[in-house]
Amino acid sequence: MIMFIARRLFASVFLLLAATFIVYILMANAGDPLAFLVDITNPTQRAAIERDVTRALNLDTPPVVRYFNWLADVLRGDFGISARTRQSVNSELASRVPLTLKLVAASTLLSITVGVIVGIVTALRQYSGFDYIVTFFTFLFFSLPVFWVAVILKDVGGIRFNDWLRDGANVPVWLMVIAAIGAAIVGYSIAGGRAPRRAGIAAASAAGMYGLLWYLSYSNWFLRPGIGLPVLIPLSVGIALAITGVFAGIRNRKALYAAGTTALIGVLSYLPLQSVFDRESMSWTTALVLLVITMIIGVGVGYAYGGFDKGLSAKVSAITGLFIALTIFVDRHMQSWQEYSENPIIRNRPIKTIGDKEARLEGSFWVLNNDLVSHLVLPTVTLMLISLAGYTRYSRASMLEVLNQEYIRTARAKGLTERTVVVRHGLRNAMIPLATIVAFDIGGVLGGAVITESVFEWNGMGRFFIDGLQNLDPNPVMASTVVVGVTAITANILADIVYSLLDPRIRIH
Amino acid sequence: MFAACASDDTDGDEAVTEDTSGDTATTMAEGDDTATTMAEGDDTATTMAEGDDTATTTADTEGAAPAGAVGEVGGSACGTPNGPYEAAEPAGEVRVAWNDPLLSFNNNTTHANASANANVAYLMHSGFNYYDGELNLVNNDSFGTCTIDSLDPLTITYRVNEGVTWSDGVQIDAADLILGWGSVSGQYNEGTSTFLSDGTAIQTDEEGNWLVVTPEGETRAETAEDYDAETGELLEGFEYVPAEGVQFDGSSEAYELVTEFPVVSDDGLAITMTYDSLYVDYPNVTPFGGTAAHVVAQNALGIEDPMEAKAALIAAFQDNDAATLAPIATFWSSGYDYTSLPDTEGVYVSSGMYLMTGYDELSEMTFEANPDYNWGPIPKVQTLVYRIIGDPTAAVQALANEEIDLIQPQATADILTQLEGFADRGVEIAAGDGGVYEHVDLIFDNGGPFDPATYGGDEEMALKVRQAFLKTIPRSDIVDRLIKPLNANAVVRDSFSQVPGSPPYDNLAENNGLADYADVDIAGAVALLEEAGVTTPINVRFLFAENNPRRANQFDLISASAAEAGFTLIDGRSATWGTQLSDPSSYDASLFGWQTTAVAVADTEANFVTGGQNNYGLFSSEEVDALYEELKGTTDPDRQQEILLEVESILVAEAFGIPIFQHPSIAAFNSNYVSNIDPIAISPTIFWNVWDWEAA
Repeated sequence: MIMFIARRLFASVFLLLAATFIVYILMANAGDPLAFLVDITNPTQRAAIERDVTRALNLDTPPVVRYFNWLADVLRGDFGISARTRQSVNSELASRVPLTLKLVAASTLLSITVGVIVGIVTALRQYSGFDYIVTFFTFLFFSLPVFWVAVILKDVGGIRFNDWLRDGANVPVWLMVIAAIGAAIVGYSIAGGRAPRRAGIAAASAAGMYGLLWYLSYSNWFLRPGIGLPVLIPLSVGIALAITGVFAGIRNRKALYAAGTTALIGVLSYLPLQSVFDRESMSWTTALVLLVITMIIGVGVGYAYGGFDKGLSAKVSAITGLFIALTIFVDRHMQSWQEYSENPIIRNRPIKTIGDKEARLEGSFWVLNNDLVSHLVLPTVTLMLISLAGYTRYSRASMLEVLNQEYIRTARAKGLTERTVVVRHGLRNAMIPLATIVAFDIGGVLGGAVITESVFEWNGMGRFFIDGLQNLDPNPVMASTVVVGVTAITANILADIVYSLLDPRIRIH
Repeated sequence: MFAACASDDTDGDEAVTEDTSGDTATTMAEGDDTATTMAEGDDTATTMAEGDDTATTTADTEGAAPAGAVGEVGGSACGTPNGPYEAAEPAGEVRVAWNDPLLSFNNNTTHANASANANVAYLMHSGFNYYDGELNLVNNDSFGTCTIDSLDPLTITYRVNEGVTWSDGVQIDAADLILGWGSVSGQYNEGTSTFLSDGTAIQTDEEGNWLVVTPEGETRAETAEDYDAETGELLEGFEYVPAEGVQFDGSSEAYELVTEFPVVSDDGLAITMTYDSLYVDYPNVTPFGGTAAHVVAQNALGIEDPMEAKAALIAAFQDNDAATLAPIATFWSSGYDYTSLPDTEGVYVSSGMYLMTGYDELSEMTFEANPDYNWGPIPKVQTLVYRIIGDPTAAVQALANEEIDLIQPQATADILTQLEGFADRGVEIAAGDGGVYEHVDLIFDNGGPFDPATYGGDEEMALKVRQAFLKTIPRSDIVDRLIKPLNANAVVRDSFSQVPGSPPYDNLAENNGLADYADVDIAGAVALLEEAGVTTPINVRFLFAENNPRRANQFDLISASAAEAGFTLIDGRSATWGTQLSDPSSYDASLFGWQTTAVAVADTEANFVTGGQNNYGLFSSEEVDALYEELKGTTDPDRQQEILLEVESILVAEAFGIPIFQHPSIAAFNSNYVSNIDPIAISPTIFWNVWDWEAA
């Protein structure tokens, strides 16, 4: 394993060298970084800047020599200066990398979650209406140009959505009808069993969707969102049942009781938690500590019920705890939504089309997080559209392939429940190839961030890259290349390692 | 301010921004093309350097000091005194977007002379004068007065009123004016120098060659042999000569003419400057630069007490004390460069309407009305949020989403359409002329079709060819098709020096002869070519910016029209046209823009005089040269206008080239949140009347 990592690292170094060399030479031939000098009024100043930048960037040496000079500086940790602004690239990186990370992390996590779930469901219900609809839309979104999608999203999801919120947030009847029809199709496709049963489920889904939207609209939920105890209680029960159903099966009583107990603890701690949340010291650290406590309680409850597979009960119970904790966490954010939205800085238009935050906004942890979300939502969705199609299709294909394997037939033959077959034997194996896709996708998302950051006015790495490119400014472009290159290569190595851990058939030497 | 180009700018902080910035500004304003922007920028830049741009003479005429005001206290040595301003109670908030971030709090340095920096300086600093909506220069006499003591030699007293203070409570006084003058006068800089990438200053010789010390200890200009061919580094043993002396990164054409140390008044609030020779655009230049003398001296010299610091600074300039001036120069040149809220509070001390309260790294600034400010127009808006949005579409959508209340995006048809689509949510558009005008220049000395040398030195023949070519340029067609959709009030520009709509413009346009070129005259052009006896088709290599759709459209229109008369235009679109301009052997006619950055009299000189820095066409006329010489010594506004008319008439008669239109500019604002937006063509464009803005 160590040898493998060493070998991969060794190869990566050469890969990175080759990549940076090519980009450097391309940049050197792209144009004159000093072209902007014609703008400068004062001839003395112009000459001074020309000399200065020429020396700093070694522009008077051949590109190949210049590359090695640059490389030597980079190895010493110095990315040089920008020809245009003559600011240190290092200091720019420090402020830009975190922004891009925020954006890329949010969209990657969401894409994986949504993409995999949708992919698995479409695989299990292959050639259903839902499958076709999902296929159609993922490909549609995948083929749209990002900058165009971003502009349209800003218009629909930003400007018009905010208008709608301000006009009272009433869901129009036609939308409720369309949503109900959509729910019916999805319900009919996903549901198993015979046609009458599926039709029943479809009708129930449609009615449920219509009723839900009507209620949300009627109660002005979109202006004052929240979950609250009355919804949390049935929701927790649902979560406990669903998690148990997927991971252990409802007939596993110990697991069911463990999950139920955790759910009960979750509901009971709802009110006490509010006072913890309202403390001024509330921070991400507190949130993490609370999450760890939740998991410990979950595991503890699972073990307390004992039995021959207390590990499974612990797992089910802990996952149930996680989801309920998340729900309570989200609920608290929603409670602060109105406060956020009505802040004069926000002007009751919470979805933002530019920037990564309102720098002037002051408020609680929750208000500031809402601000983060309201700035993240549009760029994240834009980036998600790029990778969602990939995750959906790959997980669907992978799941289908696995389900056609002989061991699945064997599992079915020995009388295992469909749940066990799909979750234990199918899902796990289907997830293995995704490790590679994730690594692959990181590069794509970073590339997508170039456009997304520019359109949404985020001063991140992507913006740095594109501005540098337009200014023919080599050092910012090279710094971005190095950061992206290192990220992509690291992700790939990690993927290979994870792969070997997940798939016992793979041995890496 | 007296920024780089001193000459043109108007005064100190306020009114003028220029050059470099220019482009920025341009960019915004003009809209159409990015490429252009730069491009123009360049020209502009050049322009400035010399001081010649297209400025509007007009204004000066009116606004500038009539000669009769000599000796009148508070007379118009820097614009017409405004008198007291109305009181106002600032309230509410306005959010404005600009396309470039603030990079320095001192926009008087050459490297920071950009409109993004000038806008912020305009908000934060008061000053002796500013431009009003008609581009008249107005003296803010609540801040201070400018009195002409004598016109020969030109002697002006600048007095700051008592009670006009920096936001830290220190009175603004002679020390600040001395710093404003001394930092750009050029006379304190020792030797010549340049800056290495790490910021250290090293010495150069007169030609700008870097000085090195050889291993033998000899100091001489560098040679190629001093460097390692492989690494480009200096060879072992060689060293640069550190410039430890005084190096202010600023220059001013005007203050280079003030070599005598100004007289500081007894009360310490006024200085009297004497010009060595007349500087005709003197109303545009004032010695207040928005950099606080006490802050500079406190930081550079480590003196805590502000008054002591000021005294030390004045003494240093007066005695030309290099040891003291060196750190002052260094701090003044580089100590103001920040891309977020500075950790040194003095750096963003304010002298005007607004105090900066926040600057989030390159993305957003916040200003609050200065509660102590009563020396000038009082703003009606309490909080200004100044956001950086580079992408014009993003700016338009942010305006629609009410994240921003006021933008000045590129003036393109797309952007205009988008903005018009948001009319129902209160978005209003203020379209008008921008600071740049488009023109065709012909080359007189390159052996091409417009050069007499081509016709064996027959001046008359070359003139007829030039006139014939200009007659084919479809100016009104270009304006109707390309400009009117953006600015319905656009007109064909009929003056080489004046912006349409300015008072002297009408007189110039009627009498300079350009009216003869109002319509395309193919028959006339053909007749002229026949008279000249040249054989057609005549090839004309036509240089213009690549990636600029508007210029490409103009080329198509001109090309089609010129072909009818027998001219074959050779498409010379080029990405490097800016640098190509100064190589007239590569083209015969060019199409580009000049930017107006200030309203001045003599600033078109470099465009038209023999050997002028912007005279790319190598035009040469002894009459024009003499007229400019006279202009530079003339203080009578009427005579100044006569001279300009004579110059323009000669330019038309000689078929120098032809102006076409003023670039359009678009400002858009959400009328539900802000009102009274009325941009002017030159920097600070939308900001000039920030005190009139009202938050809803």
